[in-house]
Amino acid sequence: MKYWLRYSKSGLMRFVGHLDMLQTWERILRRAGIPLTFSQGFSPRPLLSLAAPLPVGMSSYAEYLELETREEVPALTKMVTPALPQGMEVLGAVRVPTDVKALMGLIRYADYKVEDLGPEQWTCLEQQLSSFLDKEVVLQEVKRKGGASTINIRPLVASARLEDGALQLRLATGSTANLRVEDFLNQFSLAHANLTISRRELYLEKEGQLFTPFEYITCSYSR
Amino acid sequence: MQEILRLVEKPARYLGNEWNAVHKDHEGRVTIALAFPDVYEIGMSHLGLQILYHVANQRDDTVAERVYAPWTDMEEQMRQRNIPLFALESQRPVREFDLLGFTLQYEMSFSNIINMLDLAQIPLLAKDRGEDDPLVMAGGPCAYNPEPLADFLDFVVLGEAEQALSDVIEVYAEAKAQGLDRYNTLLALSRVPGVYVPSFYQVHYNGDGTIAGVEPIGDVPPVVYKRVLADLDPQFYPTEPVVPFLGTVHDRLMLEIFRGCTRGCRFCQAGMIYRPVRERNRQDLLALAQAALKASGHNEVSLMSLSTMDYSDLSNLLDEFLDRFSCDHIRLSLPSLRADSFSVEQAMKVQQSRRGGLTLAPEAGSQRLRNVINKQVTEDDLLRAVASAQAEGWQSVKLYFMIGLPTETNEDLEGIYELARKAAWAHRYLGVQGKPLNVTVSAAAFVPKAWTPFQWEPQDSMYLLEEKQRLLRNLFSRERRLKLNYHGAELSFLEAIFARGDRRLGAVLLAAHRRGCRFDGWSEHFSFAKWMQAFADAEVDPTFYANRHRRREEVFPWDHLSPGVDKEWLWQEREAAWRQDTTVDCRPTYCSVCGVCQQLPTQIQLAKE
Ligand code: SF4
Repeated sequence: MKYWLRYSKSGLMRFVGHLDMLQTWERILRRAGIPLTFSQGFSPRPLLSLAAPLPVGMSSYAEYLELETREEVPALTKMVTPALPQGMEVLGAVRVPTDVKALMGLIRYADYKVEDLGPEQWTCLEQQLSSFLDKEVVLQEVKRKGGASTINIRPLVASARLEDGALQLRLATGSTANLRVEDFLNQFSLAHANLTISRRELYLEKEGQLFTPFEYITCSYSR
Repeated sequence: MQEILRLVEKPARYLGNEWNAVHKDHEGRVTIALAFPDVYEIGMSHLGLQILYHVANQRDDTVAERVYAPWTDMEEQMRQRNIPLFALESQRPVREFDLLGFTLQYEMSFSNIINMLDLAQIPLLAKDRGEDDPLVMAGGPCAYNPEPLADFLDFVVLGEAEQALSDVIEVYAEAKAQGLDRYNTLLALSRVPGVYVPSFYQVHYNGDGTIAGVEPIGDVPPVVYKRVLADLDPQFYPTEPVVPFLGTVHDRLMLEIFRGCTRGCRFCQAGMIYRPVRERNRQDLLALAQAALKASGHNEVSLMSLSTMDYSDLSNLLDEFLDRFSCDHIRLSLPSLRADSFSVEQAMKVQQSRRGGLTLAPEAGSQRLRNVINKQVTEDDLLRAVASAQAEGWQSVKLYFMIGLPTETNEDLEGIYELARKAAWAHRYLGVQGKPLNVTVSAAAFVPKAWTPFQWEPQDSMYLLEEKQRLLRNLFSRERRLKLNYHGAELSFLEAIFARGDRRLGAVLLAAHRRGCRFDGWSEHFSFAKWMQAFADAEVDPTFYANRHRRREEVFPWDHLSPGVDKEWLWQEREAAWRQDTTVDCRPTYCSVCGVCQQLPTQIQLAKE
């Protein structure tokens, strides 16, 4: 049985690194008594994976965990909730047909909200954002595993607008194309130390349309 | 606070919201900060502190919180912003707590204790502390010679603290209720068995620098004996251990299967101070494991003790463990193996994977020297163990040795090489089929410790230790399958100084602190030059402590702090060592009358007779 679990990671939990989250999740699920499925081989590991890495220090209200269980767990959310540390909350769960590919490989975009912009930062964005969006090529140096490289970041920005006192972003995310919020903000020379950045949603793509992971399952398999 | 968490490398060290962390209101409670003077990943891997955290928080009248040495990046931020050292759970400054307890696990963490007091903005010297400062206490193995820290500690708890801590809390609460001042509170505490208040003892010195006597001032016991549990009551075991968010050194459930060790290796302080052996029974162990696994979500259990293979009911225990937990993919790990075939059999049972390699500790390279140190392993045992491991598919073996042991000669050192070589080709030696193994030898420098039969012995000079390392290096360079590891002699030298140091080393610790020494166990921070300058600053000769022959009658700085073992018995063991006589294990059927069971309310307890 395969499930996708949506959860939030905020407060102090923001500071737990992405790589440590898998271990944390295994412990949560063990405490909750979820019958996990394990890999074969000499050192079996539970079949768990996270949809997209989240930078340390960033809150998210749209983290997704993919897990496999030996049997059906109808009360998944209810079972998991009491085993969660402060700063994490399960926001929903969906049973996923086994023929759906691994979530990690399906993610295409993420929404971010950048808050606590100072008045100067706000004005600067108001002035520069539309000209940025009008362009087709915006070269920007980004950090990669190997070092820095210069790429065209414009196609990686699906939308960027000022709304409700915050900067709302939709950036390419995932294994095919990825833009970090930090790299986007560098384009506008914004010092991000004082900004509050959070992830709000993840999207998959199907026939040119974007769906949240849960929508993807319901619209593809509701019939 | 959250602001600085963004700026440090591993913020998860400082969160305090780990699963099973206890958050209590401080109001009306005795507040204790339990401190481990090293980084979080090491401190969280220590069972003893988890036990005390559990014992203290079980009491409604007490709140215990944890604190670890902030890593250097965090320290920098804290000093810049004038943030005092805080306890993790409430993030409150530790200087606001009633009690601040340090665990003394290894000498090279002493500089961190001073640094943590400084970060906490608590006066470093006990005599400078005021009524509002916490009482600074300490416990753990190095507490059997806490004298180098005597100036910094208000009191010390000797031995097993499960019950002693409760006694301390009760006396403290009573003193607080009566409005006693610091001095009178300490006086009341000094009446608790196992509690030692250094300032209530005056040390007198001879002209040659040795100690003439330690004089109790007022009505305090002339000798403080350790606290010891009659049996390992399951109620003291933390079935709800705090579960870290980031990988720690022992990132698993630590299940203590027994305390003490029957082997009596003459270099080993743990083997002396944790006597006698008290085993938990199998049913208790299974029940504790079950409860703690459920409450923590851990996926691995480590069966902890000083010598796990000696647990009297081991085979049954492992079978039942595997029976009960393997369906949930709970791994079992055995931290220490004995060099015999039984151990290899047991290791095979629990380790599906052979990747880790097999670790054995013959400690010395010749039978003669093994007799001297009372390490009762024969070459034959060892090679049989290795050969059966080889037959079972292990590809590498790690062998632990010591260099600089009393009576050691070049022959013994060559013996290390010979033994490693035989181990690599153990199959051939025993006339069976197989492929040679890779053997890694780790050669640690011997550090004589207080309360061992070797407490009278000098440590080899650094020069001699380095000579010996060179000799080994030359031998090992001949053989591609053999690898040699050793630590710098400098660290061992410092360890030897503090392990048998006295109060005059307090000035050295202060000087070292001023020169910025901390995290000495970390090679990137350890500076031998700074330490040597600190000794010069304090005008203390380090070789007096590390490299001096001590006479039989010498009064030691720790003679008045007893783990129950008789000094005379230790001397007899030392004499036996020189005769190369071994001493049989202590078992219900044989007792060498070391003094522990005679002087303290405890006796050896086995799970299976
Ligand atoms: S008194 Fe005897 S049984 Fe007790 S610890 Fe010492 S040697 Fe072992």
